Amino acid sequence: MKNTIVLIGLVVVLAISSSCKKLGAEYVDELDVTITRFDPEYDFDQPLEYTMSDTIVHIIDGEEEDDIDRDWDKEIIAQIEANMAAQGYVRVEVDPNNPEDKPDFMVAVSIIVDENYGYYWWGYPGWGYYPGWGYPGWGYPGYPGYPGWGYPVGYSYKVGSLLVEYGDMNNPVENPKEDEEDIYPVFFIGIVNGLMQGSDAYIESRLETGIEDMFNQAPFNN
Amino acid sequence: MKNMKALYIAGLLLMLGVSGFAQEKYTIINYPIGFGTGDTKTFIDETSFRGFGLEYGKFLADDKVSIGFQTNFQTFYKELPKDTYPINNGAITGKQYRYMTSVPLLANGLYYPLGQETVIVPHVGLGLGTYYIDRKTDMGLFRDQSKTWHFGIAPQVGFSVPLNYKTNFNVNAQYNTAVKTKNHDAENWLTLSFGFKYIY
Repeated sequence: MKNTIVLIGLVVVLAISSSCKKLGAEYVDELDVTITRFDPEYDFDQPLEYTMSDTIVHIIDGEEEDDIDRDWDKEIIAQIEANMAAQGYVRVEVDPNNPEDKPDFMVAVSIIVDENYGYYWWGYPGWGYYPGWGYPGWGYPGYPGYPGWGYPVGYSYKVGSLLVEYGDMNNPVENPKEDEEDIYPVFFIGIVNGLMQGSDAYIESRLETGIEDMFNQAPFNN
Repeated sequence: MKNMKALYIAGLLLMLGVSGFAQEKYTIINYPIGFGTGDTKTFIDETSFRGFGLEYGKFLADDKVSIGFQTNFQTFYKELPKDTYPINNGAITGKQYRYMTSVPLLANGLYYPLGQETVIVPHVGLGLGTYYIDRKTDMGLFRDQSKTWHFGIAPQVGFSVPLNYKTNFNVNAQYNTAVKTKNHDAENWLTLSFGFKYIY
């Protein structure tokens, strides 16, 4: 009987130890992705003119935010412009006195940051908090019924997305909101998405990689 | 629904057999290694060393037959290097992590052509029941996941070597087929299991 228990224990240990190899991403940059979608009807293979603002729209937790650090804006715009030039696209300024003389498309660059919060219960498996469990007087203030094992651990993480959108200025469409200006339909969108964690240099380097990945995808790299 | 019906019938037969003719009982605890085939291999072409199995049953007909219940889990995993993958009118670049976890719930019938009194006790068998399949692909912070129940069939062949009057070293190969459903492809894999059978 003793030998049997030892042998069965051996199988359990083997199964558990083989299951301990890590699964999934280990480093933050392994969670970075770059996604592009484009209108297949649009002819990207022609010399085109475009306009692009020098500033990036920052949307933080659903609100447009102006009072922020814009350290990366200049580098991001410069990198996008360099890649556009490599595709044969020429950046031009829009003359406000001559609105009819429009470039072919406009490039809108924005950054969206969302902070996410949550908590999990640290403790022994299955020994978490259940309503109605525990004894009067046990546990910490604020956690009624908490039996005294484990504790809640809070966490937060920021998810950042860089969006690059092309709007077709030659073919504006009617604005669904009445009495407002026509809108330019988006025929290309590129997104660099990842966790905003690590040093500034680390995030900047990941952004650079993401923008390069964006311009290495179709339709620019057919 | 059909899967569940088959499972209930198999379970009922199992209980009838156990209560009507049972003599000795056994429990198997084993470590399965999974080798994907077919659609499973297309999704993840890596051997799975992540698994654990349990089986319980009773002997019938002079110990030449046993019926029992088997469950285990097996996780296949593959990490794909950073690459660009096409999507409809676009592409996505990043690392990809693929997982396929299965939990079968099977009624098993085993036949021992030489009985239980030989130095090596071979067996052949068939399992019928249902498979829970959790299949997911992670890219960045995005996940594509499906959780499905399949009807399944699992023929097996193997042998056990008695170590003493109660304990046997057990080896078996089982071919798992979780049949195609309306929303999910079939999953197929071979498990080679090593473990111990305890007879009592």
